[in-house]
Amino acid sequence: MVQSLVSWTLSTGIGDVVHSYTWAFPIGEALHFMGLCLLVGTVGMVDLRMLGVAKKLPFAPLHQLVNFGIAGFFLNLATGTMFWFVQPTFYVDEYPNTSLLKLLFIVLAGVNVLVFRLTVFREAMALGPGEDAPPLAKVIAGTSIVLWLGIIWMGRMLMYIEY
Amino acid sequence: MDQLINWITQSGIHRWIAESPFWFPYPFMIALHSMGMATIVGLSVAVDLRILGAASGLPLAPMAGYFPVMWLGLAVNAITGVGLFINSPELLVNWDMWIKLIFLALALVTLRTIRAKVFGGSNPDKGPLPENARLLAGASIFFWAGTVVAGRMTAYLGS
Repeated sequence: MVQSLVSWTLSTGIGDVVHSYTWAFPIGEALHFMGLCLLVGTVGMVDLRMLGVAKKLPFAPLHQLVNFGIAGFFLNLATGTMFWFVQPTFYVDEYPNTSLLKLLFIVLAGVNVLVFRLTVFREAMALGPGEDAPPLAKVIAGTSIVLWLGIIWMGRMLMYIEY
Repeated sequence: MDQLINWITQSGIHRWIAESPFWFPYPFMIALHSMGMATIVGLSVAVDLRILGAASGLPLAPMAGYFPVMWLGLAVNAITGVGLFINSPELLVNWDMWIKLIFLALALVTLRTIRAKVFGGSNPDKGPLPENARLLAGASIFFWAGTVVAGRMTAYLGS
């Protein structure tokens, strides 16, 4: 199944078009790094607040900054998709486990957000200056930080380490 | 400079970093360098966005609590950055690396200035922000973007 996805990816010719612009891939990488800063910076701020850092911040207005993180996520989805079209065999043949672990961590980060939304989101949004987040919110915040750092880890291991 | 590069290249620590086939130390350092970047650049830019008017209902003063976390990210990147130089001493004569370091210096000076001017004096939430606060925040985002882009480009440029 993965091999047919690779064949299809190569058959579109999109990768060849991208590849014909020498700087497209490096610029995509630079954008990918900027996107990760936006995403991890704003989401990390919210996570740290739940864990007790900068606790005098009211939660709801702080959470508005996550919109920039969502923009960063889509920037990285776009650039990441571009990387896939340029070199699908790099991910599938050379670093299959590392690539899958990175994708798995991204999915888990999504599940973590979903759990947050379905459980303590309303309570968290009501947190005023100095108020302590509920224990479950702290677990979710810690999980978020570990997962995003793990995603960066796996992303950087591509090229170096195959798990 | 050539002598310095030779001296580093012949050192035991260079050989240890450059010849280890394992995840430690080189991939470990490069991963930590990205995490430190996300920490200091991400948090600094988020503060800049607030100064520029995003999430305007958010009080600024308590955001000072994020600065120690930024300094932690900076410390991680200073240490791993030295390690990465020892691994690749030729970066010392890479012009793109020097552009990155200049952007980094400008970003850090701007960050320190924001820390002092916006957070160091009277409560920024009681009364208007210092008049150049927005200019500083815009400059901070620009300098960080320059640092990140030039840093990534060392893989392609400058040697």
